[in-house]
Amino acid sequence: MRTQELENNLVDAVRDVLGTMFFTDVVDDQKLPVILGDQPLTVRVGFAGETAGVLHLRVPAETAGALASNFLGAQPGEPLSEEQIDEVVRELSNMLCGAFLSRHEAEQVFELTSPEHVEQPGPEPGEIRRGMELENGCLELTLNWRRV
Amino acid sequence: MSLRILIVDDSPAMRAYVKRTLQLAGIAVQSVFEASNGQEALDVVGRENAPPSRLDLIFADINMPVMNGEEFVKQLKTQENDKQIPVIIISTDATQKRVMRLRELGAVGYISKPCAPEMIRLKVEQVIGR
Repeated sequence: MRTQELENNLVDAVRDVLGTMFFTDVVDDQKLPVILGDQPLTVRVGFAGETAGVLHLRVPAETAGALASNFLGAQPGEPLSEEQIDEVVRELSNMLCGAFLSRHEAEQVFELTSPEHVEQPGPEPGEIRRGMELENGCLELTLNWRRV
Repeated sequence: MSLRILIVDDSPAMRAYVKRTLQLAGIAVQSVFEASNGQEALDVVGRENAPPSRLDLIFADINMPVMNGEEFVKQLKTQENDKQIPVIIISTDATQKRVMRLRELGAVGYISKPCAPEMIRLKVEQVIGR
């Protein structure tokens, strides 16, 4: 179906969230594979309404740190704890999921699950995967979408 | 006027973002209190909105464990001593149905995430300037 539409809305959501609250932008929205490094952070957010699904966000540790610094307004060289970085990545995934859904299904009310850290997501049917290069790193999003 | 503000969000990162935005915007803040869900927020309100002190403004998320933002606003507005505290919702859920529901319950403002610092500043000025 609307795979292209889903992908476009996903990319628009990333641009909007990163540009508005993380003060960075997407440089290349078709970058696959993304080099995630040794210890990428993977966060899962589920959503349920008339449609349901799961969004996975994966970011390399360096990107996570850079995004967290921007979001929290850390001074250059100011160290952030792993906990702070984890919290920011979880909040980022929550906002990405919400921003995507408000574009794609604007009239629907969704319940989002609390973002949680997981191991690497396995391949699932109906999957859309998008890698993006940012001004200060990269990220990968995987969306599984289904009608209830 | 120096404000006493409560931020209700299960995300510590989001609470920090709102707090920093208030500081950067030059909004005179006397105290910022934090709660990670609606139940905790009601406890803070009970403690911090007791005469002679009062809370000037509450920011609240919707999706939270234990007690969500909708239930929090609903209960707050039934409490005689607390129902006048203005509540601004900050949420990723900006569907018309949800916004209408929160307004009916008594929220005075709604900010959809992602939200630029400027949006938070403007909304505070709008609500506090009433």
